[in-house]
Amino acid sequence: MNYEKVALIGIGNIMFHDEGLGAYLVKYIELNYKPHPKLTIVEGSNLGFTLMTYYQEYDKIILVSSGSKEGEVGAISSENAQEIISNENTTRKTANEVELTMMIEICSFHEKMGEVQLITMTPKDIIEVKNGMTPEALAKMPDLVNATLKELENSGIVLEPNGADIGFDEIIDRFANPRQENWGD
Amino acid sequence: MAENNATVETTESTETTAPAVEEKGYHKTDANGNKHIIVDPITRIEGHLRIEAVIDKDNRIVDAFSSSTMFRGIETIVKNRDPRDVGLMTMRICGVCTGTHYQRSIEAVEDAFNITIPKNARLVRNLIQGALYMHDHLVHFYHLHALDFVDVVAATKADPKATAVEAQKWADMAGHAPAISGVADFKAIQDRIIKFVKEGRLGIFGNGYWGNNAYKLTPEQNLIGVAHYLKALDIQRDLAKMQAIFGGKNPHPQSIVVGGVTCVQDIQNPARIALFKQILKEGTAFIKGAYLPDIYMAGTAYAKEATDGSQAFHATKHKGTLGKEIGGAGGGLLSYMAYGDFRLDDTGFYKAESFFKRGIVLDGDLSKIHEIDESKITEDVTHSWYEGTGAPEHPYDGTTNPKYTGLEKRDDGYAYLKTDEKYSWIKSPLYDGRKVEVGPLARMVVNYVSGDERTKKYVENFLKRSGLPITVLFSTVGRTAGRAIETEMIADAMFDWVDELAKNVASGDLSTWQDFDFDEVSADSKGRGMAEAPRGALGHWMRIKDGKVSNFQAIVPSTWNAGPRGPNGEIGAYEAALIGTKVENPEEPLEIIRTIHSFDPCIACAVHVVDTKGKELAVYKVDPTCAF
Repeated sequence: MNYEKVALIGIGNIMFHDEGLGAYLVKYIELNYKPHPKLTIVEGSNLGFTLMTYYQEYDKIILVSSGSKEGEVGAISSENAQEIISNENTTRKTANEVELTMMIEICSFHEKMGEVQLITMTPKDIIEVKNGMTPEALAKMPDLVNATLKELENSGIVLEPNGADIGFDEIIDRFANPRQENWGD
Repeated sequence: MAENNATVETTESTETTAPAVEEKGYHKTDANGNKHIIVDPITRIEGHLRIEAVIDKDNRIVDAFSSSTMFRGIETIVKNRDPRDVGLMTMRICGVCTGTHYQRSIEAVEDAFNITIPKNARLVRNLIQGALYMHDHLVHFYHLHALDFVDVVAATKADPKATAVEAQKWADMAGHAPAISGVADFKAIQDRIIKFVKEGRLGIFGNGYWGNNAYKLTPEQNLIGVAHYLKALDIQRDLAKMQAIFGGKNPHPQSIVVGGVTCVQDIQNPARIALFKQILKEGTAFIKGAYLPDIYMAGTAYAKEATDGSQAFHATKHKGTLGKEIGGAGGGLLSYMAYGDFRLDDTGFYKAESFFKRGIVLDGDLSKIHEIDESKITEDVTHSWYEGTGAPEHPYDGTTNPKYTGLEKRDDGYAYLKTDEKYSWIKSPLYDGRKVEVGPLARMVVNYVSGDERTKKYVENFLKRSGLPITVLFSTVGRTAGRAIETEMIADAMFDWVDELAKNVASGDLSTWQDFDFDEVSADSKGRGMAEAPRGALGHWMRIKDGKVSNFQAIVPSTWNAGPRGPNGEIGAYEAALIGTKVENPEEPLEIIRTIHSFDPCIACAVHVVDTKGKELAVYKVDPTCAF
């Protein structure tokens, strides 16, 4: 299906180990693929209320986040808005899950609300206050990239590599050591 | 908003060997008739908050305990960083007040380096923060709190024609044109509600306590509330954009740096200034035509509870040394503190005249403002899951060493807070050994008692137009009204600030940054960024040694308000606000949720985070509601 405006948003706090995987994922796609005129990429972290703006302004919103579902580290699942709300026992555990679910609920009553798809990957640790990812979760990031690219294709967005070949280690390092002069690269 | 999906458990208040008996959703009462109501989680944004309230046989709350069951934190992750970059990390403390944490860290460094930023930078920062206040307060009221007052389902019974008349009436009281006034508009919205109810698609409205007797509005008033709820979704979208005009982007603004701001191009661009003013104008029209009229409406409908002294904290055995007896249900401590914010001149930090004044009002004594002695600000961990050093610590020297002692699982299968011991991940901040409330109401009270003419004008206008007594402000609904009054004040002031910025730039002053010699000033220094966030007083304290951060502590608004008991049993702001309140139906603790929401809780940023190896924390990882 084709959409005029698609937002790809990485959710999760980079200070809590694997919880930042959504932020790393979208930065990876932003840095390694050519821009697409219909696609906006957002490093959302813990977006809070601002998430509502994206729900309202875009036709399709693809969220990428760590998830709380039981399963092996790296297990990937994908749910639409109705499924997210219906499966509240498995999508309301962490702060960012609560947040993104509540924003869906608030906006779902409004006449203008884009289609939401949430892609989650099971982390190993989101407790420790630490930048970076566990080796186990990091090893599964290529699978998350593929799942995200596939969802984008389903939404009419086919991305082409730009040849940059910037790896997750470098991206994680940038997030862990932000500097005023290169923030927003 | 009715915290629709909050888990509610009511259990016996004392241990018993008798088997728990399910009875209308809660357990059999004990010999004293007391029950524990547990609401967990109570906040849907930014984390988890658990409230345990003990109610007597008359359904009056006789004791209450506030606990954050989610371990979060920041402090140690910024140690040994370049202080100029700390704001880029602390902005991730909270998704709502991202830019405020960012700015507080930068201001702590500027204070340490004794930097006074240029006028343009001061005004830009005021505009970015002002835009955040407008956005935050509007979203809080309509999307996180209004449905604690507005019964959505009852709106289906409204007469759209009478609703239009009613909307005009409250707008007239506020002295403005109504944001929505057409009969057809109200009819269309009502049709949508009816359709959603019939289809079972109420979304966030689905699990509310609709029909509870604690809802006081008429069907027409409820329809007005829902209509404004929907319209506010459109307004907030633009207000979020307003933050990014000078902030660079939202979330995670990047235009503020140690020494000033970087958006020198934006302040010279008339189109950016015009866009800012246009959104400000539209947002202000909604604030005056919907938000304020709705506060007049709710304030009038809920005035009885708000002025019922028998439901106030001071009417209970916990009164202690409390002086003035003012206010009603939800009033709480009646002690307020504000650090002050929005500098109005360029004489530097903590010297400049400010829009929000700095000070403390104690025990409801509205005749006296106390100056803040920063050395008297401490944090205690007697009832928090941290190792203590034996005495409350000033944040410059604060430590954060977790010591999780868990909850008490009783025979009835429920897990209770160990309220005589440690029971929260939030530390307990104190001012001179006392608990104080922070937030919009605190700012309004401090400004009012300080004699600020602008605040007196807005507050007295509200009281005069509504016909309500000043005591109504010291309550749950008063806390909500204080936030609305503050929103209008800020919105009006921002027109002046943006004009002042444009005029200053037009005069040829393009300075946005103050240079400094980093090597010299960062050798050994300390500074604090103490100002306000939408939810209240926010402080970042930083020690800098050899160009690196050697210690960092933050005390955020929800720490002041949601903190547990102090070392000598000092009751926290949330806890005090609940004690004395009468609950209409213990199975539907709408009054508890309404009062806690009136503080606009934000728990992720309230709990100290450390780099811990304590894997016993996994207890919340498995089940964040702590209902083992």
